[in-house]
Amino acid sequence: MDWAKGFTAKYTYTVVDPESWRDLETHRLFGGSITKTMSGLMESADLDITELPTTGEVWVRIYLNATQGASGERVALFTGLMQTPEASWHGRLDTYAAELYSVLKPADDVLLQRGWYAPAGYNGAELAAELLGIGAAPVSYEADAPTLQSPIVAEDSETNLSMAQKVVDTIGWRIRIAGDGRISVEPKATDKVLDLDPVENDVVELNVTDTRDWFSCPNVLRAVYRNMVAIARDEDPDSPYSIQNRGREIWLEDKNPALNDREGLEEYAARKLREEQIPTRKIRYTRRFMPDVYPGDIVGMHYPALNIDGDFRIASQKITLGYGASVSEEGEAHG
Amino acid sequence: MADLQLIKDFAEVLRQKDRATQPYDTTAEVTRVDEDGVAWVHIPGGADETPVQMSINAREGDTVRVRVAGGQAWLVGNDTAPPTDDRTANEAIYRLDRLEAIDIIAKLIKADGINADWITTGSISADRISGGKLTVGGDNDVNGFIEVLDSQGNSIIYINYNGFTSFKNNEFVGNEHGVNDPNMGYFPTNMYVGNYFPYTSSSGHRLAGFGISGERGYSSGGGHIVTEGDILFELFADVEKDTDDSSIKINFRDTIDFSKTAVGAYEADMVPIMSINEDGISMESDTSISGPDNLLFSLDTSRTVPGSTDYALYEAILALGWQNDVID
Repeated sequence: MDWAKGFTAKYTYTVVDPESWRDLETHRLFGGSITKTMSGLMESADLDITELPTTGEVWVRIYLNATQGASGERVALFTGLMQTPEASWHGRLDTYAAELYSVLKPADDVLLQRGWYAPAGYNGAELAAELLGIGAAPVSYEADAPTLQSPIVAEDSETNLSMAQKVVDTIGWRIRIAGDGRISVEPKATDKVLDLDPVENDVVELNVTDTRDWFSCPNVLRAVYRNMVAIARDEDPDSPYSIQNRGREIWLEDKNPALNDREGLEEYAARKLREEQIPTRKIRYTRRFMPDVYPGDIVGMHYPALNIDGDFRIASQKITLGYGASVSEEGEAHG
Repeated sequence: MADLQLIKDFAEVLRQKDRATQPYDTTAEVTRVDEDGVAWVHIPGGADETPVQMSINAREGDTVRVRVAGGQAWLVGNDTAPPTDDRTANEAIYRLDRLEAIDIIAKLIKADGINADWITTGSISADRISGGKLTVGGDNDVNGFIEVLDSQGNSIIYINYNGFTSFKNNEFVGNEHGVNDPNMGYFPTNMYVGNYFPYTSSSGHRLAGFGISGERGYSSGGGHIVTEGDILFELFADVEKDTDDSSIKINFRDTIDFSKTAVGAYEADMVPIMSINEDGISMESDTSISGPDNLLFSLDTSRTVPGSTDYALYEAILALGWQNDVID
């Protein structure tokens, strides 16, 4: 099946056995949306359903059933926890608005003990997987993850999820949730998963929004590591972002410096300032659905006529469970 | 339907919202302290142990105040041992130092002088010691000990519980005090006096005396050679025999090698006057034997046999015409 071509989309959801993580009963689904981001619970879904699967909480999985001529494909879009929907009646058809939380919800519901800490020297991915493994969803991790250089102590309201995300951020990796709800702790994507252009893979609708965020482009950076502080300032008259040329100071503080080998804090601050001085370029667009593309992945966008030609990391994604399964995405310039 | 969408959007915001964590302050008990400046604390109701950056001092068992922020914990106060203002602490230390100093001075300096009982370290110059009696040892079963060093730090003389010991060629009088002629070489001597003299009279009394024994004497000019350990000369007073008529005996030990000059008398500049050897007693011209009547030569005739050096001496004495009865 060629996802770049048109297809007919129908949706169903299944009840998932939390023990085996397999589908049980299947239900009809008339509409809804799925939102995915890179923080917090990372994803959620709203469904319009006509059948109440159960009372209380139940794990469900949303499927896209795509058909294209004689071929078809069934793709899991989202797996999450659904509580008893709110009921509303519109004439004869009873519909329910179901809210679904991500598979990270169980990890977000458990507070860590005061004084709990992620120990230094521990494999960051393994530790994050342990913290996330409190839920029903299977969790995997790549074993060759960096170790924590210093302990991370839990603050108030610290949950398994927030600590796991701190650990993953510290080692520079990411948490990825597949459509079937499987969680993986893995390195950040460096390769493109998709190239979009008007010739070979024309799936983007022409409603692109292109912004450049100068407000968040600093010219002073303060790096803080324990009791040490290093401040880098851009005072280069040739730099368009320098203090002189912008006429004001824009500070950025980095409290979790990731120093390279033999790199001092001052060197790090100078390097980090150069990296941060690229004005964040964001684009918003709507495209047809393509399977296995998630927030955190890198997409190539090649639309020279729109002055867009480069790679973008997907920051958020919204899948509308309607005609063509359109996907609205926001991406940040990468590289 | 608009209301439904609004509710959905609101719900989505709630679901996507990061549950923000918050810094907090608490008290805790220090369970242990690492050498690398990390204190481990137990936060009430929390984990068994939490690592805390030790920004102020704390010890095991202290109740401390801890701030947890930004993924790290900091020790910000110590209720058990609160830090003291520097100025106050310094003043207290200064006062304490002064009090200690005054106490020490009071113990050391008395109205009638310095109390030497408190002099327990350092050294006192010997130039400061004079007069009176110097006593070493005795207290606490300690043997006294006095040592004299040369300028190189070598031990020259001990005075200890064994008596007087010289380490300079085993001599009580060193070479520089003996005859030192550039042609004759030098004549190392041992000198002993008093009880060291190893002889007793026939009645068993110990004899006081004065002796010289040779050890390594030699001569480059044909002088006498004394075998190591031989006694060259002994002079003693037989106070038992001659209580009313003190005499001096020259006692030639029978171990003297008379093939060499045994006794010689010299003027200044080593000009010989008299010598006694296997050829007899030789006098230089215009000299003669003279002396008090009680000058005796003692020779143990019971052990003289013809041909021996002692016998030659015996014959030489007879040849002088001395009375036989002077020969003991």
